[in-house]
Amino acid sequence: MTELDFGRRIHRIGPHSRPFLLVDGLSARLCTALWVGIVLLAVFAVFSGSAQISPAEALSALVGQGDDYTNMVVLEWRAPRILMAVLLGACLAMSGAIFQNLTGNPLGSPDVIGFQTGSYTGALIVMLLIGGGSVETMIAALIGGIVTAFLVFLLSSKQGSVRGVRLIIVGIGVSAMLASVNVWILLTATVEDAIMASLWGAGNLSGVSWSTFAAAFVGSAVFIVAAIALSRPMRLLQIGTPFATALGQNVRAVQVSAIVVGIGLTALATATVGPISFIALAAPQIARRLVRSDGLALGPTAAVGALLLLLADVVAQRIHPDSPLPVGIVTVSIGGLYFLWLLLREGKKR
Amino acid sequence: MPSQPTASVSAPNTSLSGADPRASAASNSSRRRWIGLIPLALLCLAALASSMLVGSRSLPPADVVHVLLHPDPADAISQTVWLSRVPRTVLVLVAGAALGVAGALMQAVTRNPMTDPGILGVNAGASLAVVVGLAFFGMTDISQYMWWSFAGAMITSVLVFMIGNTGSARGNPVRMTLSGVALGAVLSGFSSAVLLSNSEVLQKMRGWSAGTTASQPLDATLAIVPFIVAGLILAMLSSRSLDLLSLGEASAVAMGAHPNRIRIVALVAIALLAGGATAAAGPIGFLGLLAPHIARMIVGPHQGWILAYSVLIAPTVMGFADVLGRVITAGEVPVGVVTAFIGAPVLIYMVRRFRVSEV
Repeated sequence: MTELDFGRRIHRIGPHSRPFLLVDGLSARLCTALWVGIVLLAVFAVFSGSAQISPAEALSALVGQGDDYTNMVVLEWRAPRILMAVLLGACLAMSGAIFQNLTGNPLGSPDVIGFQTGSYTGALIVMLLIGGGSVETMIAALIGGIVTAFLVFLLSSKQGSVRGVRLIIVGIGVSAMLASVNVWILLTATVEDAIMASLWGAGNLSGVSWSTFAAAFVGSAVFIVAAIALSRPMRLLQIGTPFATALGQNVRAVQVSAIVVGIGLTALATATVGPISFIALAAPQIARRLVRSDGLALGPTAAVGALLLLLADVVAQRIHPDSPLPVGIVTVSIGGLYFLWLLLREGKKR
Repeated sequence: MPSQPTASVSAPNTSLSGADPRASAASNSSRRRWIGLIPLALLCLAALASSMLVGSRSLPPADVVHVLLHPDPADAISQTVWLSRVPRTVLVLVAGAALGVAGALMQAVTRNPMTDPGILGVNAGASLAVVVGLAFFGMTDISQYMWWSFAGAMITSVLVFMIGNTGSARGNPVRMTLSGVALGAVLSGFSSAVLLSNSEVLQKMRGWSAGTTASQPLDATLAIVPFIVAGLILAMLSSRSLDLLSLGEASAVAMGAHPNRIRIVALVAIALLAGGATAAAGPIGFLGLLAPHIARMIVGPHQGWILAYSVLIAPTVMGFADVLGRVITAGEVPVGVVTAFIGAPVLIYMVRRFRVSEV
C-alpha cells in the first residue's frame, strides 16, 4: 500500500482507483460520538420535563401503551420538539458552514449578515401590521429572509464579485437597519402583541407539532442533500478560485448553488421557529476545531449544530420551569460567550 | 488669499525657513478650518431651530420666541414648547454631540473606520445595564440608572477592546468588529431575556429601546450634561495624543507617547459620552459612525478638528433626523430608526468605495 499518511487515517469506500467516498477516520469517530451524545440527550429530554411523568410512564407511551395525557405530553409535545431541534440545529449549522466557507470568514454566517433579521421583519409585518395566522407568518418570514439575503448580496457585489469582508459589513449595515424597523413595528403594537411577537423573534421551539416537523423535514431534506452534494466541489473551491477553475470546476455555478442552498437552509429554519442565532456562527467553528481540519466538514458541523440546539432547548426549558425562555436567548448566550472565548484564546496563542 | 503666505515668510523664525511653506500652509488650512466651522454652526442652529418649530403641531417662530422669553403655564403653546420641544431640542444637542465625539474617539483608538458605539456593542452594554437596573433594582429615575449606563458602557468598551486587541492580532479592525458584534449580540440577548420575562419593564423600555428624544423631561437631560461635558473635555485634551497614536504603536512610543495611557483616557471619555447619551435617549446607532466620517472628509486626518467638527455635525444630523421622524408619518418614527436608515446606506457606500484591505 503506497498511501500517503498525513497523520490522519482516511478510509476509502468503493473501487480502489476511483473511490466514491473518502471517510476521514477522526471525523467519522467524532460524528459517531456526537450522535451518541444527541441520542442520550434526546432520551433525557423525552423522559424528563415540567410535566409530572415518570420515566416508566413515558416509556409506556413510547411503546404505545400510555394513557391519553402521557401520550399527548410525550408523543405530541416532547418528541416533535426534540426532533425539530435536531433537524434545525443541523440545518442552521450547515448553512453557517457554507457561508463561512464562501466568505472565508467566521463572521460570514447568516445570523450575522442579517438574513434572520429580515425573516423577523417579514414575520412582524404579517403578525402585527397585516394580521395573519402561523402559516402566513411562516411564508412571510421565508420571503423576508430570502429578499434580505439577495439584497445583501446585491449591495456587496462589485463588478460581479462578492468579497468576504465587504459582504459582512454590508450585512451588518442591512441587519442594523432592519433591526431598527423591527423595533419600530413592535412599538406601534400593543404590549401583549409585542410580547407575543418578541417571543417569536427570540426563536422559540415550543408549540412544534408533528405537522410543522413534517413540513420542515420535507423542505430541508432537499437542501441537505444538495449541501452534501456540494461539499466536495466547495472544498476544491477553498484552495482558491484560480486553482479550482484550472482544475476544471465551474466556479460560478458552485458558488451560486452554494448560496441558494445556504439561504434555503437558514430561511427554512427561521421561518419554522423564528430567528435562532449563533448556531450557524458557532457550530462550524466548533466542528472545525474538533476535527482539526481547516476545511468544510459538513458532517461533524451538522452533528455539532444539532447537539447545540438540542442542548440549548433542554437548558431553556429547565432554567426557569415557570416561564421557559425562548431557545434563541440561550443559544445567543452560550454560543456568543463561547465565540468570545475563542477569539480571546486565538489572540493569545498567535 | 495671496497675502497669507508672504505674511508667514516674513515671520522672525528664520532657522526653520525650510519648513516655512508647510507652516504657512498649515496656518492657512487651520484658518480655513476655523472658517468652515461657521456654516456648520449655522446648519446646526437651523437643525435645532426646526426641532423647536416642527412637530405634530407646527408653531409660528414668533410665538415660540415669545413663550421662550415669557413662560406661561396656562398657555397651550407655552406648554408644548416647554414640556416637549425644549427637552427634545436640548437632548438632540447633548446626545448628538456625545455620540458624534464618542464615535470619533472610537475610530481613532481602534484605528478602524467602520466603528461606532453601536457596532462595537457599547450601546448594547449600556442598555443591558439600564434594563437590569430597572428590572431588578427598582430604579425609576434617570439620575439612578444613569450610573448603570456609564458602568455598562465602560465595561463593554473595555471588554471589546481587550478581546479584540490581545496578542499579535492587535489592532486588526476585522477582529475588533467581530468581537464587538459578538459581544453586542450576547448583551442584547441578555436584555431581551430580562424584558421578555418582565412585561412591566418591557412596557417602560419599549419607547426607549428604539432610541428616541421623546421620553425624557428636561431635568433628566440636564442630569447627564455634566458628564457629557466632562467627556467632551477629556476627548479634546486627548486629541493630540490620538494623532500620535494614529501613526502606529511603535512610532507613537518613539515620539514619547504612552499608548495605553491614551487608550484608557479615551475609553473613559467614550464611556461617559456613550453611556450618558444612551441613558437619556436610548441606543442610537450610526450617528457615531457618520459624523466623524463627514468631519474627516472636510478637515482631513487631524483628530482635534475631527472632534470639533463632529460636535457640530452629529447634533445637526440627529436634529434633522428627529424632525423627519416627527413629520414622516402620522405617528412618530423614533430618531434611532431614522438615523439607522441614514447611516446604514452610508456604511454600505463606504465599504463599497474603499478597498477591502482598508476596511
